[in-house]
Amino acid sequence: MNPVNLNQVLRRPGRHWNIDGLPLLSMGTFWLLLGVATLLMDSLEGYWKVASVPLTLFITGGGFALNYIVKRLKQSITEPRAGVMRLRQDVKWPAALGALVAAFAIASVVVVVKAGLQCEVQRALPGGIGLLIAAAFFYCSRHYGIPSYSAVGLCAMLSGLVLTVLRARFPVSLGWMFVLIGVASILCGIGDLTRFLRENPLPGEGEPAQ
Amino acid sequence: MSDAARNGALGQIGTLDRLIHEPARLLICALLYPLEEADFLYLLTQSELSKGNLSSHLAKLEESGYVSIEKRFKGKLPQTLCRLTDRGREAFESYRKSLKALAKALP
Repeated sequence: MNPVNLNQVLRRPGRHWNIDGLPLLSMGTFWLLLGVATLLMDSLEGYWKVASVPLTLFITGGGFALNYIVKRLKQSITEPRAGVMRLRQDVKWPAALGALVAAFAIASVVVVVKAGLQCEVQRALPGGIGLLIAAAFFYCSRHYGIPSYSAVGLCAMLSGLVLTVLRARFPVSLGWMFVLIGVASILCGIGDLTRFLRENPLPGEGEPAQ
Repeated sequence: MSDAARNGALGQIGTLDRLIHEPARLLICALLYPLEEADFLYLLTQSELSKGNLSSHLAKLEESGYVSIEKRFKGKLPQTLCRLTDRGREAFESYRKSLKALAKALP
C-alpha cells in the first residue's frame, strides 16, 4: 500500500464527485445556455425589464435541473464503475461557498445595472466577474486536485480581461464570457469523462471471456 | 513545548487505538469519516486494497463496532454498504487528536 496523506484522504469524496467530468459538463451546459440567453435577449427592446424575470427563473430552475441530471447520470455511469458514496450533510460547505460566489457575482451585476452606474464601470464588469469565477475554479482545482478546473478558471480570467480590454458593450460582453466559459467547461468535462471511462471500466469489462 | 508536556504527549504512544493504527484500517476509517455511507466498490477503488484484504479489515472493524455493514440488492446486483458508527467516528477523532499531539511532541 502506498503512503497516503490523511488530509487528502478526507478530501477524496469531493474529488470522487468531480473526477468523472459530469459536474463540469453539466455546469458548462448551464453557462452556455445562460450566455446564449443573455445574447438573445439583448436583441429585444427594453432588454433588462423584459428579460430579468425569465432569466432569474431560468437560473434558479436550471440549478435544480442540473443537480437532478448529474445525480441520474452518476447513477448510470459513475456508480457502477467507481462505487457509491453519500456525503454527510455537514461537509457540504464547498458547495455552499460556490453558491455564495455565484450569488455575489449575480448580485454585483444586478447592482451595477439597477444603479445605472457609468458605462465605463459596466464595461469593466466582465473582467471583475471573470476574476471572481476564475478564483472559484482555481480553488476547486487545488482543493480536489483536478487540473481541468484550473483550465476553465484560466479561460474565465482571460475571456473577462480580453472583453474588458476590447471595451465590448455590456451585457453582450457578459453573454460572450458565459459562452466561452461554457465551451471550455464542456470540452474539459468531455476530456475528464473520457479519461474516467478509460481508467474505470465496468467490473468484468476487458476480462477474457470464459 | 516543555519537557513535561513533551513526555506527556509521547506517553500517548501506548494509548493509541491499535485497531485503527493499522494502515489499511486507518485508510478505511479515513475514507468513511466524511461520508454517510459508501459501498464496497467505492472503498475498493479508493483504497486500492485487494478484495480479500478489504473484506477482512472491514470484518475486524465491524466486529469492534466501528463500522456497520448492510448487505442488500440494487436491482439484481448485490450491494454492500458500509458506515462508520458513532463509536468508530469518536475513535477516529480521538486517534487523529493523539497522533497530532504526538507529531508535535517529536523533536
